[in-house]
Amino acid sequence: MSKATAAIVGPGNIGTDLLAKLQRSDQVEVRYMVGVDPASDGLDRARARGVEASAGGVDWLLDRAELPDLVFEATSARAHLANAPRYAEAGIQAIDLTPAAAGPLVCPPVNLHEHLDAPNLNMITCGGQATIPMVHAVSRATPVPYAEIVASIASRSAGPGTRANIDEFTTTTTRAIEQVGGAGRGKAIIILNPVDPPMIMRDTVFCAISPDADTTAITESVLAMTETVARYVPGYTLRAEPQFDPPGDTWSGWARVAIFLEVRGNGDYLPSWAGNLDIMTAAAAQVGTLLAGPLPAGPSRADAAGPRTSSAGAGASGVTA
Amino acid sequence: MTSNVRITDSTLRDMDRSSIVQGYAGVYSSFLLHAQRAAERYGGPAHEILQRVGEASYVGGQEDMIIDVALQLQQDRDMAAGARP
Repeated sequence: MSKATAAIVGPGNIGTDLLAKLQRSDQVEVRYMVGVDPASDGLDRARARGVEASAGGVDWLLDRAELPDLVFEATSARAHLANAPRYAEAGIQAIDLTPAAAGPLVCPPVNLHEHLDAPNLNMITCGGQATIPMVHAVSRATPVPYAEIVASIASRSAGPGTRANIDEFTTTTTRAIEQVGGAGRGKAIIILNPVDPPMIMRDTVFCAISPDADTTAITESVLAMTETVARYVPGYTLRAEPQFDPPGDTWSGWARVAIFLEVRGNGDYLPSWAGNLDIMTAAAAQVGTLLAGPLPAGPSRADAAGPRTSSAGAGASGVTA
Repeated sequence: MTSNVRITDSTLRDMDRSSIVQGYAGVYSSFLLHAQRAAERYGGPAHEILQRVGEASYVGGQEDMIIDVALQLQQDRDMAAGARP
């Protein structure tokens, strides 16, 4: 049974952690790791794991005799905006782990099923992957006119790509809180905390709700969603039950629910405090697995002649490799 | 609680255990009112919250963690009360 083939572009913290996760996948095989700096440790780490690695950038990747079915972009928003049209032209479905948001915003437990055909899927941000399931869990139980999220991560887990994209983080996460989470208005805050030993990723979700909203229904919805996310990110936990507060002086008459999350990583690359890597890479791996399709049944890639023709992405763009 | 804080006699009189612990624990100054609010909501003294916040080295912007700390302290107290014979 053939696996879908993949390339990871960007051999930094996220790309390296993603490689570890995809190497455990039954459906996706990472063929190439691509960077631009010959001195990159990430390329050496990939080679040590048996993956063909090059500092030749996307030019090198697109020159391969066998192109991958999927490309995971773990560079920066700017780099992805430059690369995205080239992947599309080559008929490679892109899973974008930068906040470039060239394609639809995807949070697997909320809306992945709507976008399986898209040639380019955006994974929002680490804070978005952690918090948007919760915004959605509240908004499916009661209207949420406003939602605010705070993502705190260890400074050590934020590499140069993440740091170059702090503004993109806030704007893309904000948009996703509204479009994917279902809040009327969103706000996202990211904090890099330099404490040593590093802090475990923490995320807090505040949602404005009606003072007479059904708090039992909200709590049940949040607990159910926590279980769903924990299926692909085992370290995803609630620190306490959702906290309900009556309207405060400056809350325009709205009450508030507060949800406190901790995201402990798997320790695949960086230690377990870097849950922000895991929530992003686990979500991307989940997307890759679902795009690769079920192995035994269905219109599988194995039925198709070329490496790309079975994918819905190729159908949408009409391009094959 | 006023948002327009000036150094007056009353501010100086407010130099209480919370503000002293806050300085001792190296906690960002604007956390004080948040800690007092969380102490009111979840019970227990504000200085205990500030001490924990200092130990965790939370930085400005992490006011949400003050509520989290107050919740954890409340859980610790409940557990201690439950464990009592």
